[in-house]
Amino acid sequence: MSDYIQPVIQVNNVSKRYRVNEFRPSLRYEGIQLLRKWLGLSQKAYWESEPFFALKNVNFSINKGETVGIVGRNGAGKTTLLRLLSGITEPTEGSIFVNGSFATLIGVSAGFDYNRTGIENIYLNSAIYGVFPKEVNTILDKIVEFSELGDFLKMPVKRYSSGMIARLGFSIAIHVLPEIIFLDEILGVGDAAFQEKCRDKIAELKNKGCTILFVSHSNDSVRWVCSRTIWLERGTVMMDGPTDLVIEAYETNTLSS
Amino acid sequence: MNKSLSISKLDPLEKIYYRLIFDYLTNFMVLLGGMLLAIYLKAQVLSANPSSTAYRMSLELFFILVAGSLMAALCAILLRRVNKVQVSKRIRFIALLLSLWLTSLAIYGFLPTLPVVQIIIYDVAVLCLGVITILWTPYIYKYGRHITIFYALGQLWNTKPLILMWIRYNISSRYSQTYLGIMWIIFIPLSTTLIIAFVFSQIMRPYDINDVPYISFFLAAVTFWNVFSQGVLNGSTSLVNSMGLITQVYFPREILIIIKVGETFVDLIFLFISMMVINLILGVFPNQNYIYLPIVIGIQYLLTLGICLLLSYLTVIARDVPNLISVLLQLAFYGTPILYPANVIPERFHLLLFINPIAPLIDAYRSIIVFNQPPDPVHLYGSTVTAFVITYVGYKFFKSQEKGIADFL
Repeated sequence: MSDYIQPVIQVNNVSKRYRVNEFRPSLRYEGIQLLRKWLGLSQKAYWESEPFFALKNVNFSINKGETVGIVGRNGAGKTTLLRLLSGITEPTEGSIFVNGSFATLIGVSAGFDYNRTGIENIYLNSAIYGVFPKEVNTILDKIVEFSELGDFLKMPVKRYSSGMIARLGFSIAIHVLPEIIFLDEILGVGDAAFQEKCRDKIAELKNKGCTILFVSHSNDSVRWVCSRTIWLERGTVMMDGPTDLVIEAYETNTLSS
Repeated sequence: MNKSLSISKLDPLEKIYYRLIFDYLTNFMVLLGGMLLAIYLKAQVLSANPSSTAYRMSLELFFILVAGSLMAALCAILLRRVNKVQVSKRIRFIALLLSLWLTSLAIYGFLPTLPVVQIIIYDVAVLCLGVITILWTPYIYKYGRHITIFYALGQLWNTKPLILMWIRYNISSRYSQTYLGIMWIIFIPLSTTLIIAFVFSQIMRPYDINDVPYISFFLAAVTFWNVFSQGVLNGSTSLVNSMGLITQVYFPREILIIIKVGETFVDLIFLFISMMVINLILGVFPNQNYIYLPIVIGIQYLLTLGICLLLSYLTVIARDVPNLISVLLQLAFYGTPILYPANVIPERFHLLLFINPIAPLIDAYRSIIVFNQPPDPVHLYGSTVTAFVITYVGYKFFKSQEKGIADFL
């Protein structure tokens, strides 16, 4: 059994369904809808509207130490996939196994509390990832140094620019030493120098055996970082394989349509 | 840092059975507590008329109720075993209706003279407890993640440093851009308190309160009432207010409620000190009965937490809930003996006191701080059971709905 590699992430037949009209109308609106339905004026009430599948029958598994890019157009289900993997929501159907500690960076705000200062947010965010103040004290200098924010860390996060927030979020996520990192669009907002630094750091983590899931619209970044790429299209996996092949196919597809 | 995650519908069902039976047993214990509470309330309410049928037959009624609730649980287990699949909502609903029908039939068979209203009251009791503790149980096992409620509690225990840190940050940052800072915690409630106390002590003097200064009498109750109402209001809106955090990172969501309710109890320290100062000026001194205070405060915290766990998810679904809560709290302020002593309430409104879980607590605070007497254990008993049942049911409900929160926000 020694050559059998246990996958760290396993996604079996996962579907995630949302209602299109997932909004909260007033009681009056619902009453009118119900009345219209009874009178036969409309076929369906809003709550019976067509379900929308953000993900449909997605299957893949990722082994330890792999760096996997996820590409696709807006609304293809990339962020939903990361949310499911990090346990923020649960799938409507299917099963997900994530074996190991993980850090998640979804979107720009990265789960910060905007009224606290940068330093406080370092402690808070690390604690959410499961690293508590005593351990944070040992890595605090590294985080501060990597983020290059200096005195800005004493300011509330609400005054930060999006690039600064991304810097802070990324430096926390990589220094709490998770086994798996989910990165969503985090490099897109940083400047060129920081992007370069992040790529180097990701390569370093890759060598340490960290599993990385990397969502990006920048094909160059994906090419640079990932060895394997999954192409999502309207909630289904279009292609899954070596980065060069998948990106090439994705680019031709994007250009032709 | 050990946060493994496994979500699976393919968990071997045989393994789940043991957990399920264990969980049903814990549910049963809660039901037992709830029923004991019901009997206690009944004994209190009907004590005026010990010859009534319901009063004499309370033990039989209790067994019938437990049997009915167990029947619902057994139905669910058996159906699960037969189908070997997730029991659908419809089947569980039918099982509940069945047990309900059997319960009312049994009550009617044993006690043909019992009025219909009584049967309806017991049916509603079985329905509420049955729905919340039995019907929603399977959701916790939906993906095999939350093994039992104790597992969830263990997870929560591991995040203790996070909770403490978060409370500290929240307290310090709440008044970070004000000049008076932490003094506002005392000023805001104290100003209204003093106005009301002035009006009631100088202008209206209706009650006989054993020559205790009215301000002390009122302050002992309203301090803790303010903490309760603030806790309920803040706790129930806590999920909606931290939308950004919930949709971006995963952590046990009940932390948000615990810290919000915890904050108000940290405020209590400051409020308590200011109350002590006023009491000393008025000549009401600390006494040895203060050793009971932590117990009563603990019960109050549990009660607030349970209410918030139930209400916060409802707030996520319908944003009308906070408005409704503030109205209800206003009504409860006048319904609870805060402005007046409990013994001036007419006999026919005593039911209101018994169904109000916060009233015995307020009474206990007052007897400790002002009247220098230990709290009445018989009165506290009802509140304690209510607090535990509400917290258990609320936590269970919250954990079962936890994953839906991010979708609704």
